[in-house]
Amino acid sequence: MKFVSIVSFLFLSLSVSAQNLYHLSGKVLDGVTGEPLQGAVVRIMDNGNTWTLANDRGVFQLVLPGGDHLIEVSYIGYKPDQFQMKAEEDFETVFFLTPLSYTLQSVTVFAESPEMRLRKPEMSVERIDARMVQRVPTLFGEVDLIKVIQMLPGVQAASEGSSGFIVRGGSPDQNMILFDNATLYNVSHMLGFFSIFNNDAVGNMTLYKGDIPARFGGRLSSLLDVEPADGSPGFAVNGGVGLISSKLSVQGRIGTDNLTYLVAGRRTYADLFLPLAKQEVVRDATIHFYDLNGRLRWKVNDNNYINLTLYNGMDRFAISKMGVTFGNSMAALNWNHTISPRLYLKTHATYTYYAYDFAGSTEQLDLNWVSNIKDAGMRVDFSFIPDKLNQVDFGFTSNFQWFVPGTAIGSAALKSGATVEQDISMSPRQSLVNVLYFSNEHKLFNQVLQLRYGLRFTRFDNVGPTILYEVDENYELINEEGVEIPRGKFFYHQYGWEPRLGLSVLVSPDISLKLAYARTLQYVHLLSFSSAGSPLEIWIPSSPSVKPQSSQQFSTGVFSNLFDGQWEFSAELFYKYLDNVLDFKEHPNLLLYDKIETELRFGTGRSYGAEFLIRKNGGRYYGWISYTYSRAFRTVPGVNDGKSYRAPSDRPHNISLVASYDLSKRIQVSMNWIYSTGQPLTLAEGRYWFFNELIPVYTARNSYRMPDYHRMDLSVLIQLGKPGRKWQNSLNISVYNLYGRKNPWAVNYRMKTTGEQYLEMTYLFGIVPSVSWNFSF
Amino acid sequence: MKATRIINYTTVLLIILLSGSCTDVLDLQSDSMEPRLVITGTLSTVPGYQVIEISATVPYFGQELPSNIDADRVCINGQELAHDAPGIYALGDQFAAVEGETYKLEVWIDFDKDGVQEYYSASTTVPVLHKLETLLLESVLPSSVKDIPFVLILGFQDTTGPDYYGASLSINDVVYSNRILRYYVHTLNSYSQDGKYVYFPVSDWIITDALTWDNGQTFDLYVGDTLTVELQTLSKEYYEYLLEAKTEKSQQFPLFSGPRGNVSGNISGGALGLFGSYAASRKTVILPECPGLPVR
Repeated sequence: MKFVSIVSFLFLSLSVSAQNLYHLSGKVLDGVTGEPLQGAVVRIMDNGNTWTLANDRGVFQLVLPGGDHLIEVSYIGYKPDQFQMKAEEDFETVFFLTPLSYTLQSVTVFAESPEMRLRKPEMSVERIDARMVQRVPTLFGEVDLIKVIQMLPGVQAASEGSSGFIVRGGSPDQNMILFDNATLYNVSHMLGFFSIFNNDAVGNMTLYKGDIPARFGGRLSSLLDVEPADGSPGFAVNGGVGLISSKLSVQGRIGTDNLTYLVAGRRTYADLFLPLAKQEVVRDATIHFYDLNGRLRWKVNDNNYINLTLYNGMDRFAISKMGVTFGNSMAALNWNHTISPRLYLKTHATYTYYAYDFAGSTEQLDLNWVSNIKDAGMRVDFSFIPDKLNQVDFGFTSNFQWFVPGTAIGSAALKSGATVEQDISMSPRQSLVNVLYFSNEHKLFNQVLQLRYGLRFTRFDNVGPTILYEVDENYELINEEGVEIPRGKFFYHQYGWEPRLGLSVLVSPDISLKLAYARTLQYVHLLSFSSAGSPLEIWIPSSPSVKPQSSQQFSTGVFSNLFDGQWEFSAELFYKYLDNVLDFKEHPNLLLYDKIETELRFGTGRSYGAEFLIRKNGGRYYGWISYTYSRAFRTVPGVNDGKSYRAPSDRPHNISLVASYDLSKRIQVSMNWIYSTGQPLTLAEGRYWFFNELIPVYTARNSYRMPDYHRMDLSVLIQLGKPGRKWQNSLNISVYNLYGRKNPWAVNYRMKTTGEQYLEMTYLFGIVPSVSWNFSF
Repeated sequence: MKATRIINYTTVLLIILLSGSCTDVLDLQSDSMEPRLVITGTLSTVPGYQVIEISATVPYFGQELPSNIDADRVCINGQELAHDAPGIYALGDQFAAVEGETYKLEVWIDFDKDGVQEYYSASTTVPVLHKLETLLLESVLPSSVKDIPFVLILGFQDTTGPDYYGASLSINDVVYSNRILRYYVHTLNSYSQDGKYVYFPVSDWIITDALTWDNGQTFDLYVGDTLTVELQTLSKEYYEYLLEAKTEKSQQFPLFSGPRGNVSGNISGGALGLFGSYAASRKTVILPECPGLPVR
């Protein structure tokens, strides 16, 4: 019966093409910034079944029969626009939509229209508008987009309070994070309690949980594409004062509306209270971070836009004159050029720098341990619309990466006259990754069926100078001394193919079925156990003894819009197979060890699961509830006796409930509740004496679990100013972990005086209330 | 300066940052495993009473403590050892291993009680001695020549190639490093200053008027106390065993700690434990009169 319905629907759709038809094409742009509005809906009001979506350039095409029509253009967070037209010939136009003030409306945090989620031949994608998350309950009163992402189906926090996240059984290092197309390697402030993304400087975020477009790649599990916010031509100031941090942003125009800027900064002042501490060591400590964002946008003309994004942020923890400093710097310059109404060009030049150093200097001691990663990239993206049924994307990217995994130099002048010197260095490593890609989004049967296929071809090169260590199949060094590679020499390369496929079938106006397949390759590897945003991370590129990790993911799902798009439902299934997945031998030596190849182990992994989501999109109530069932396993020769074991990310059951209610126009109440199965844990089952200590004996890795994680947060957002006035201010009162759940962060063995062992957990947070005051004018 | 020291500093910072965090007893226990045989023994070049010890594991969360068991026969280089006490097999009162010599341990025991003896073996080659030539007591305070806290600086001539070092501290002839967490394992080994004259501070032992001891007690120090450091050149398998065992006994933090795992020994036949060796030399310093250090 269902088959007959589908065929009838396809037939009716096809029959439309037999009439006298005209093309309506054009763009949908932000009326303030001129940014394209991807996913905006262009609908023929007198024929509700005929509508289309603007692509990522804001471009749309629509076929409509001759005669009078009322056209409506809508986009979440913007005032809808309507206009009357008579279809007598092909027609081209540009729609400018005016953004609504987020403080006055009830909207979801999702920047994607329900129609877009239904129609697009892509799945496992979440788009979040940074302006819309103000009311989500926060830790320490600081709104953080990463923490919102952690509440989406298929996504979980790597650990309590962390900015790291795991997607569909992957590990945190398998997530590519781009900020204006520049690759970021560590996005944590204060050990992960904050991310580096200042909400005032971010436009929106798109998280691809596996079905990654062909133009992107480089990580196995997900892509988080963060776009910076543009400044508006009208001068505006936004600020916020919280318990431990404050922020300020200024935006406006420079001379003309075509040249706008946005500058945003944050700084914590937790260390201001440290002098009040009882312990001297705490009083002398320094703990703070800051970050600065800058964005310049120049509309040269209707066909040319030039944007510049800058970021600099730093954390410092120190006791007296010795401490750790780490941070990111980033610059991105891009040029968007409309070559013709059917051909678009986006060119990006990016540079990122992540570094940490542990340094100190006293009369006797000098110490400096540094590590850094630099990534310089160029990407050129073309988008070609040959006809109303196809959109072809193609281009290339090139990234050169410099890795300084660690250099520690220390010296101490002893009073006896002797000098203690240490110089431990890991050799630098460089790599070049070049990518060519192509993809096409093909609409069939009057958009009832949409097909997306693409291919990504990568060439990876290792470049000198370095000292190359190779290991045999037993991970023993082939040459103890290594081989010295001169500067600039390309000494090893690999090729990779990454096919991508997506299919969407609209089985009824409100229901679509989707399928997707993606193969991804990862050429850089994180040497860290940390699940808590450690700054001391070491990345290395692939090399002759470190093969690229690869992933193949199959996913399918059903998507439905209910009650005129007010409600959404989706159910997705996924299966992911990982090859050359990285793990470490037991008790590896990862810090400052140049022959690191001997410590690595490679194997296979698999994860699978199902994600269910019900979401309310508008009105006084909104929010979502999601349930994810997800399993993740690894099989790595040399680890766990070669037997399959649970990955650290194996947490089968996960529930996220996010709800918000407008008590009045000025008061909004929001609540989160998060539950997940406890993290896998390795526990000793036996013990014996050695060196007057009881040494634990294990039988299997990760065969036990920590207690389940759950937490409820609550926030109240109170608008203090009168609506409509330029001066606006609001108070956000949040309570993190409302019922004081003791969620374990670390587990350690302890022994009673009787010799009996027990487990002790460390938990980070009890009930954490916070208040922040935000203003704008 | 070295990775572990930097981690120690960072851990202090972390503790400060997380000073609001708390601990609680976790009501969780593992299953009990079947008992496994454990064979341990380390040979030293310093003459003394040296033994091989045989025992069995007990459940981790039980109240029972591991105890020794007897083997049917224990030999080193074909020579049977004397059975001195339950599970204790001695090489003699003044045995001294010889540098460069390889020793083979063999044990016969019917551990699984099936009426058939199982055979276990391991070998170790005693490393060449690196004599402790310098032992300095340095104040860690700026501008201070004699003031607690002190740090002990060890100096010796390294030789080319991989070498593995550990150090043990005795105070007034009482072994302070009688537990693995108070024993110092030098993690830099040969790859930092291969073949050079090496100085390194032992960051594990910060000498004040009171050192940490068992059950919350302190080991009190006074002016005139003697600090004796034994520098040990370890066989590779012994070094790795000590390092892994120390890691297992240390506090875990999600920031730095990896998954827990078994300490890898070198006993064939599936037994746990280790047969290792080391060459050792000693030097002594005397605690001077200084502010903060009491007179006995």
